[in-house]
Amino acid sequence: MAVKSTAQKRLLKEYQQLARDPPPGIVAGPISEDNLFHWECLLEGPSDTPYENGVFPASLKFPSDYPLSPPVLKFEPPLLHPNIYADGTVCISILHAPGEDPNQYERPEERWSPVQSIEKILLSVMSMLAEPNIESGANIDACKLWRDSRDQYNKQIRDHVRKSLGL
Amino acid sequence: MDSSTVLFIVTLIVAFVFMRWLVSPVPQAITDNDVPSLSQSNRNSRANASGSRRDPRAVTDSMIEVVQSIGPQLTPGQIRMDLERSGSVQATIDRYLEMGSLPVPPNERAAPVSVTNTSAISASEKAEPENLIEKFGLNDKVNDTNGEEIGNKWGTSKQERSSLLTKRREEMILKARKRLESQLKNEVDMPLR
Repeated sequence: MAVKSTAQKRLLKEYQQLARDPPPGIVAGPISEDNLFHWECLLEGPSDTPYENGVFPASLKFPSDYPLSPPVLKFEPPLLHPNIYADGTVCISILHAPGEDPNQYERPEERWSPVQSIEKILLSVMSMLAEPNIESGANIDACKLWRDSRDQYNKQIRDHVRKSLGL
Repeated sequence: MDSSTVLFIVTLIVAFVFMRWLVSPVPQAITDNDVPSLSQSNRNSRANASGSRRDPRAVTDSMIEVVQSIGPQLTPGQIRMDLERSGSVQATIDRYLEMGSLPVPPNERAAPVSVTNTSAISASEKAEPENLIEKFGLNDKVNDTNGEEIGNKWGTSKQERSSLLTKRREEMILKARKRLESQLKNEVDMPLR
């Protein structure tokens, strides 16, 4: 496409920055440069957590008015975690549209705004993996498992990691 | 009625007409095919060059983007053809949501690259294999020890960038596998750790 929209220019710029100076444990980029609105990311599980040594694929889908609206991040296949819905969609404050939180739970500066970036989203997701936020859980079953039977929770994730790496 | 009331009513009417005119210039421009503006004629000529038979309606890139954000697996060609038919983003999105897809333009088959790409992506989304080694076709490389380091480069061409990205993905998966492999070995050696 000869003429690039604001969203496309911004996405290309962020892609370039992530390629030149990637944060540790993150590989992210568009599946094809013909469609900059659909990315595939690989995230390494943080060490000293059950997600350690795992590599988790996730898709990032951007709205056409990005960066005004936030993208949707979805783990494919879904990952067991209190803040990830059963279908794999991640629920954290930085991915929520700007404005006031109806539940008065999130501060406006934690939510999405055009000054945030893909890198910040992915880093937030890494710290979310390390420290689940039970108070705003998205997957009730995962919340219960995490709270009541942590061993079972850890084991399920380690099994997922082993299977996904073919070991 | 005194003059101030008359003036007030006249102002209201003028403001109303002005707002109507301000809000709806786009549909007027689209139906007005006889006198296309400069930018419209550019786009029209591009659409004509891509082999459209009828006189196409003005389709802007931003219209295509809006539809593509709803249906990311649609190709720009599909969307453009349907927008030229319908002339409205809303109508095209409704049609896409109803049919689940949009008709593929006849000249799109001449460029199979984009078509096969998108269909491969949507197919892999449906039946996502859990095993990353299989998904990324790394079976041959699992026991490869001479893993070359990929620097943090920005390729000069689309192809180079996409192959660099693929290599980084493969590198990350293979390294993680090696780490896990050695960790599992340690656990077997020292089960009481």
